[in-house]
Order: sequence, then structure tokens, then C-alpha cells
Amino acid sequence: MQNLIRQIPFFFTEKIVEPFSLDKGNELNKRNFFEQIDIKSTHTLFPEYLRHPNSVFIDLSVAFLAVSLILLIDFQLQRFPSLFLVPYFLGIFPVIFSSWYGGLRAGIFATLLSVAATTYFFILTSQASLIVSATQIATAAILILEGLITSFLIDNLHIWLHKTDNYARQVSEIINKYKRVLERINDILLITDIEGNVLYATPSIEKNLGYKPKETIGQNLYSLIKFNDAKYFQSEVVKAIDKKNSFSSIFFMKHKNRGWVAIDASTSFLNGDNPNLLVITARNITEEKAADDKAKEHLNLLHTVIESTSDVVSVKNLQGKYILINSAVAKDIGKRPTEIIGKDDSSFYPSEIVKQFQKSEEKVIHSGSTITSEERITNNGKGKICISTRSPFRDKQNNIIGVVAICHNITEWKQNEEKLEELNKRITNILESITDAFFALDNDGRFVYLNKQAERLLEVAGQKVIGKSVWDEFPEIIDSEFYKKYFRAIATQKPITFEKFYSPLKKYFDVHAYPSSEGLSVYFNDITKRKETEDVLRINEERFRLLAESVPQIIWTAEIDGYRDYHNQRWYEYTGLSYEQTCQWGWKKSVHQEDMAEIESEWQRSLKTGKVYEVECRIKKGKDKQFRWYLVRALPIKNKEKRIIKWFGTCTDIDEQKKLDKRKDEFISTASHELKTPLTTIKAFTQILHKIFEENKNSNANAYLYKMEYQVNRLKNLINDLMDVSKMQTGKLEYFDKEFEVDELIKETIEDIQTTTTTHKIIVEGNAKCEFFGDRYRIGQVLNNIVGNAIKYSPNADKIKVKVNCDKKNLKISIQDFGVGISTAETNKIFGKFYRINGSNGEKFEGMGLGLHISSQIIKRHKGKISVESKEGKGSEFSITIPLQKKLLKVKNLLKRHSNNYEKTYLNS
Amino acid sequence: MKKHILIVDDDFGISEVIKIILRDSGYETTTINNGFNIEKIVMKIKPDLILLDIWMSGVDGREVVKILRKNKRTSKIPIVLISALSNTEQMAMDTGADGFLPKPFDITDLLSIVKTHVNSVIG
Repeated sequence: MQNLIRQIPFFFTEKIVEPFSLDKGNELNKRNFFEQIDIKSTHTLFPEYLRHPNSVFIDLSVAFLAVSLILLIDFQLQRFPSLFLVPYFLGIFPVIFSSWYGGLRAGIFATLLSVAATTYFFILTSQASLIVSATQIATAAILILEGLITSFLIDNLHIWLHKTDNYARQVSEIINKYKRVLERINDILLITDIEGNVLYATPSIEKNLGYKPKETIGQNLYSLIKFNDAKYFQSEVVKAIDKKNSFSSIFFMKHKNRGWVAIDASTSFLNGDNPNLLVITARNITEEKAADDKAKEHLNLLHTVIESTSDVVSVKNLQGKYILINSAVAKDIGKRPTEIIGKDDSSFYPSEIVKQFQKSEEKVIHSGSTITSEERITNNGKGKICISTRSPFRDKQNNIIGVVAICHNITEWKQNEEKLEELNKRITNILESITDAFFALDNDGRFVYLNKQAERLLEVAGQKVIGKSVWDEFPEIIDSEFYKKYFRAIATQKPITFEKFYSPLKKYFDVHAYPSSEGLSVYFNDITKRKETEDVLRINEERFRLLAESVPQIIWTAEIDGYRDYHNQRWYEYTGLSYEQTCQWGWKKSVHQEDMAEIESEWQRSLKTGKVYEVECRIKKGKDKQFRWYLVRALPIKNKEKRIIKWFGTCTDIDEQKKLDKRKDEFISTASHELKTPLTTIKAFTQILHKIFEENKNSNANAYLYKMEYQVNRLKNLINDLMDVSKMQTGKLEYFDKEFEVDELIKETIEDIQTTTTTHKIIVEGNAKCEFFGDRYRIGQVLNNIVGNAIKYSPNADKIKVKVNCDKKNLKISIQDFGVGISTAETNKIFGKFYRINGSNGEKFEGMGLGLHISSQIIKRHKGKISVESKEGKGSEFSITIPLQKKLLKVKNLLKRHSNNYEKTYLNS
Repeated sequence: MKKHILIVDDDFGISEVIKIILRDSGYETTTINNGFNIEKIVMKIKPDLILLDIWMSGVDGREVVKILRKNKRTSKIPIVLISALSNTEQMAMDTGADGFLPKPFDITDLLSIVKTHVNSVIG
């Protein structure tokens, strides 16, 4: 595990690309068995040549012994037939013997000895001479050659046959020497020849691979190794032979009974210069590998865990240097992991933070326990709040070797918490500042909170009641409406709103209760005053309705947009319409079609301008479908800001009045006719008499008749004025507009007036050569009146000035007299009906005071103005200004209407 | 030959004074006090001028004008309307009458209007 830990920083810094290598780690630990035992010593033990090197003496001895032995045998065998007395026998056996045991050299010696002996004993004896024949030399040569060849062959045969034995001997020598060690080691030690044939295996092989050592002897190592590994191993061996070094490798070997066993092997050569034996020390690393795999898995898991958290996870050693970090650390610090590992905090944080960290870490190291604390860390201008958990990091021996720190950023949470707190505060503030009273009850009916308004309204102190049951504090509430309503709200979990009188406090409350799983929130208001006001309002409204219903008139109200929203019972009774049929614009159904246009335009005008609405129209009676005339009026009702909020309207039955008006019209016409007819007769007879007396030259009678005629004319004018005024009053005075020449009219009129006076001279100044559109007769009447007045009120003067002017827009006429004048106080009154003025010295003037009134009405009708400037005693000047009206369509229509009315009037009369 | 003037007025005083004035001035007159059967009367006496009161009980003066104007044999006879209502000249002329005389009138006005219209008729 220590290895593992040492690996971790590496692992994290390299980011799992090459997780870790067992080979490398193991290499450090692995101890080559042969490195431990002195390999040099083996070199002296094992000569490079496998046969022990014999001395020349030994070789000669072997050869001599072999030849002597054969000679002895030969001599013993001479008694027998000469079967054996052949030189070959003597030659061949010693050579074979010598070369077998003594090697080539011994063989050669034996060959030479046997040839010499053969030649001496067998060849020379038969010849009986010392002379050496050619045949004998040849025979000897052949023998020597034969001997040499045999020696060589036998020697090689011997070597070949004893080679393994030689290895075995060498091996066994070593084994014997180190037997005690080899039998005890857990690692496997194999010795093989260069081809991989196993020469020796330690007993540990059984434990590791299941084979008994004996079973492996003679087996080929490669056949025990997993195929691919074997190939690789072989190539490594070949390479190692060239370089004459040792090497390490990991491969799988076949277990006798169960699958593969991971082997970490170190291979070296027994003889460095002439490699022929391989010594392989192998360690079963299956478990280790499994453990490593597991560790790797754990490491992966650990990695995944610490990487998957956004928390900052780091491990520092006792020196405060980072040995493990997750990427959150790197992100937090803003450096790459490789830049962080191996460094301490001082490289990344300001000194006060470093101190803060160190202090915490020291605490952990000293106490040996996990410490959790809230930390505020400010770095690079950014502050954050962390929950830091620091734990001691221990090795296998439970020694503290570092500190593991996990830092959970709670800045946001903290901020939220602060916000929440602030919100809470704010809500409390709101609850305190709202005009509504508020209290909250928990599910047991205990006060959780109540604001000041609630304290005030309930007449309790908050501190006293909080935590206490509402039923205890307000026992009167039990079984009251409040109690029932609250219970229903809680039971149904639905908000409830009600207004109730709470008799113990003599207050009317408007209550809104909101149930929740935690209890009940109750907002309420003291509405006692409002209720009282409402009562007053209700009474007022009742009064209005009573009034509206009791008056004989039809009464209605309308919204500011003109929609009628109320009619009193009279309306429904009269029209026979229902409320639904009437409201909004439904009432129109009852109005005469001909009057509709005027009603609509007038109503819209009033809505727009806010001016009083007034029209006369015919409204249909529901019962007999007869129309009756109504005067419809409406007044705007304004609020304090003078804004219209409603229209209040009435419909007054004026049908009778209308009929009366009509009768009055008829009366006026009749009166006019009836008064004028006798007047006409009187006048005519007066004139006849006048004529007769004139013929008879009766001047006295004539003078009387003139006076009579004058009085008749006055009577005529009075009747005309009275008729006009009474018609004007009812708006029945008819006007007959047409175009006429103003100059002509003035000339005619002035001439007429001039004939009636001898005292005054009427002077006309200027002219008015313009076409005027209006009522010629009436304009003439105005002139008549004012000029007539001018004469009348200037009894001591002798002239009247009439100025006429006509521009593009207006016709202007002014009439100036030099008479009694009018006081300024009276100037406004003179146009009133029946207003008469007297002279400054009390003198009285005839007339009824109608002329100026009629004149001003006529001028008004022509959209003109009449005014007066006067000085008492000096005279007056009346000015008339009338706009020149064009023949507008409107005027034409007006004319048409008037003539229609005229006709109607006449037809009726 | 004296010109014949028909006076139609329901007021006896008026028709009498007009008759006196016109007779004194050399006209022949016939007086009737209503507009009933006016057609027959006009066709019978064939007046040179008709002085017609507008406002009469029974048949209105304007109706009489209409009736007479419809009939070819009476349509060319000049008619002067007489009225006690002020400012009715326009209306009177609109009915198709030839002249208008407001009441009360001067003798001179009556004589001049009669003279004018009697003479205007050719034949």
C-alpha cells in the first residue's frame, strides 16, 4: 500500500494516462538471487569447458595403461587360435578406452603407443628382421590414422554423452552449496540450459505452480509460459545473450491445476562470457497483481469520487506540500495540477490565508482527529465561504503522514441563507408596517406571531400571547362564527374571507384567513368605521332610490361613457320594458325615430363637453304605444377633483305643456287675427272718412282723423311686438331667410321712417353694397326699432346718424343719436324684456320696452352682436355687427324646416 | 266696363270697408264670406281680381288659391292675399298668389295693389 500511496500523486498529475507500472515498482524491490550469491565464485567452480582438464601425465598414463592392458590380454590369448592376434585389436581398444576416459589427447597417446606395440610385437616378429618394409610403414600409418579418428570420435561421443551430466554436475554443485537457501526461498529458482530445458527447480515451484520439482526437470520452460509471453521471453533471452546481461520480465506461467500464474522473473546467465545456463528467479505475483488491480480499481473509484465532487479535495504531506489534489483544487487555485503538486499553499495564497490553513492543519495533526470548520477564504479578490473538513492522513502503521482536506463551498448557500434571513426580516417588517393586522397560529391554535396592528386591534400585548392558545386568550371566540370559520379553513385547507362583528371588542372585522400545513395566517382589519360609513351610504342610497322611485318623473343615471345603468320604476312602468331591455342603449327602442338623431348628437356633445344635456323627444308608452313628449335632461355628477363620475338624468312629461304651447300658438295667431281685423276695419274707415273730410275741406276733422290713424298704427305696432315677443318666448318666431341687398333695405326703411318724423333728419353715412343672407323683414324691423328709438329718445335733437359698412366678413350698422343717453348701469339692462328708460329729468317715453329686446333677439338669431355706447345727456350709439352668412346647406335645411313648421302651424290654425 | 273684383273674407267688417273703398274708386265688387264653392262662383261671375283672406273659418285661403290655380278657366285670374299675420308675404307668394296685402292696410296700398293686378290681365 505504501507503494500505492507513493504512486498517487504521480497518478493524478499524469491524469491516468499511464496509471502506474508494477514492473517499475517491482524492479526496485526485486532481488536477483544470483546477484545476491557471489556470481564470481561460480565462475571458478564452473570452467568454461565442461570436461575437467586432465594433465598430460594423466592422459599418457591412461593411454599406457590401456595399451598395456590390451598387450597383457593379447599375450594371454596367444594360446588360442590367432583370432585375436590381429594388430587392430591391439590398436583399437586402447584408443577407444583412452579417448573415452582421457579425451582426445589420451586417445592420441594410446594410438601412438598401440601402433608402436603392434609394430614391435606383431609386424616385426613375423618378418624377423629389423628392416622396415614399405608395407609395414603403411600399415603403421593406417593404424595411426585409424587411432586418431577413433580417438576423436570417441572423445566427442564421450563429450556429447556426458554434456548434460556436466551441467547437472555443475548445477548440483551449486545447489548443494546453497541447498539450504534454495529450499527455503519462496521465489522459484529455475536453471535451464540455453534451449530452456529445465535442469533444476526449487521446491517452491510446487507451491507456486503445482509442479513437483522432479516433474519439471527436462521439461522445456517455454512450454510452461503463455505463448505470447514465451515468444517475448525468448527474444529477450537472445538479446541478453548478445549483451551478456540479465533482464527482468513478467509473464504468465501455466499452473499445473488452475490457469495462469503471473510471474515476475529475473533472468541471468550462469556464465557471463559463454552463456549456456540460464538462471531464472521467478516470483509469483498473481496475488500482488490482483491486489494491485484492486488497488487500481480503488484508486479509480477514489479518483472518480474526488473528481465527481465540486468540493475541493486535497492531500498534503506533513510539510504542507500537496501530494494529491482533484481538479477542483486546480480550478480553484487557477493553476494546472502539475504546477500545484509538490508545492505548498504559500505559492498560491496570501500569507494570512496560508497561516489560517496551517493553523487548522496543525490542529488536525496534533489532535489526530477530523476537524470541521467554516472558513472564509479570500483569494485574488474573490471571497468564498467553505465548510472545510480536515482529517489526518495515516499510513499502514497508523502514523499521521499528512492531512486530507475537503472544502465545500457554501458561499452561495450562505448568501441564500443571508438572503433568506433578510427576506424574513423584510417580511416581518412588512407584516409590521402593513395596515392590516396579522397573526399566525400554529396547528394547535397557539400564537406564533402577531404584528403591532393585531396587538392594537385585539387589545393584547404580543409578548404575552405568543406561544399561548388563541382559545385560551380569547375564550369568547369558542363556538363563535370566527371559531367555525377558522376551523373550516383549516379543515378544508382553503382560504376564507368574511366580515364579522366581534362583540367582545365591539368591532367589525374584515378577516382573511389562509390555512397552511403549519397553521393559520389571519389578516384582519377593523372595518367598524367603514361599516358605519357603508350604513350611511346605504341609507343615502336608499334615500336616493326612495326619492327616485317616489317622484313622478322618470329618473335615470348613466356611466361616464353614456351607458345608462339605472332607471327608476317609472321608466319601466311607462315604457313596459324590462331592465335588460333598457340598460346600456336599450332605452332607444322607446324613443321616437325622428327624435333619435338629435338625442344622439346632443348626448354625445354633453358627454364630450360635460355640459347639461337637454332634449325634447317623444317616448313611447308601453301600454297604448302612444308617444308622449318628454323633456330629457341630464346633469353630470362630479367628484372632488371635478371629474365627471356619473350622469344624473330625468325625463319630464311635457306632453301637456307641449299641447298648451300649441294652444298658445293658436291663441297668439287667433289673437293677432282677431285684434288686427277690427283694427283693419277701423283704419280703413278712418281713411275713408279722412278722404271725405279732405274733399269737404274740414281741416279740424282731418286733424282728428290723423291722430286717430296714428293711434291705430301704434296699436298695430304694439300688437305686432306682443305677438313677436310671445313667439320668441316659446321659440316659435319664424324667420324666413333669403339673400337681399342691404343698401336697398336701408334705403327703404330710412325713407319710411323719415316720413313719420318732421323733427329729425336721418343721415345715412357709408354704404353696404353686399348680399346679405337672412330675414329681410326682421333686419328691417331692427332698424325700425333702433332708429325709431333714436328719434323717440332725442326729442331735442334734430338729426340721427346711421353709419353703414360692409366688409368681407361682417355687416356693420351703427345708429347714433344725440338724446338723453343711457346711464352705464342701465346699458346692460336695456335689451331685457319690458325694460324702459326714463329721461334724466324724469321725463317718460311711450312704448312697452319690447323693441330693443326683440331687436337683440333677432340679431342674436343672425349670430350677430348688438351693443351700446352712451353718455347720459349726450346721446347713445348702437352698434350692430352681423356676420355675412353664406348659403350653407345647414341654412337651407334650416329654411326648409322652418317652412315645414310654418306650414304645420298654419294648417293647424 | 267696370272691373269686377271678388272679395273673399269671413270678416264682415273687412269685406264691407273694402267694398266701399273699391266701389268709390269705380270697381264692381262681389263679396263672399267663405271659400266654399269658390270655383263655381268664380266661373260664374268671372272676376278680374280676387282679394282673398288667408285665414278664414272653413276653407283656408291658400287652399282656395290651389283650387283656382288648378282649374284652367280660373287659373289666370290674379289673386291678392290679405292677411292679419305679420311677415307672411313670402308664404303667401309661395302658394301661387300674385300679390299680398297685410292687415291693417292703408287705402292707398289697397287701391294701388288692386290697380296693379287688375291692369296686368290682358283681355
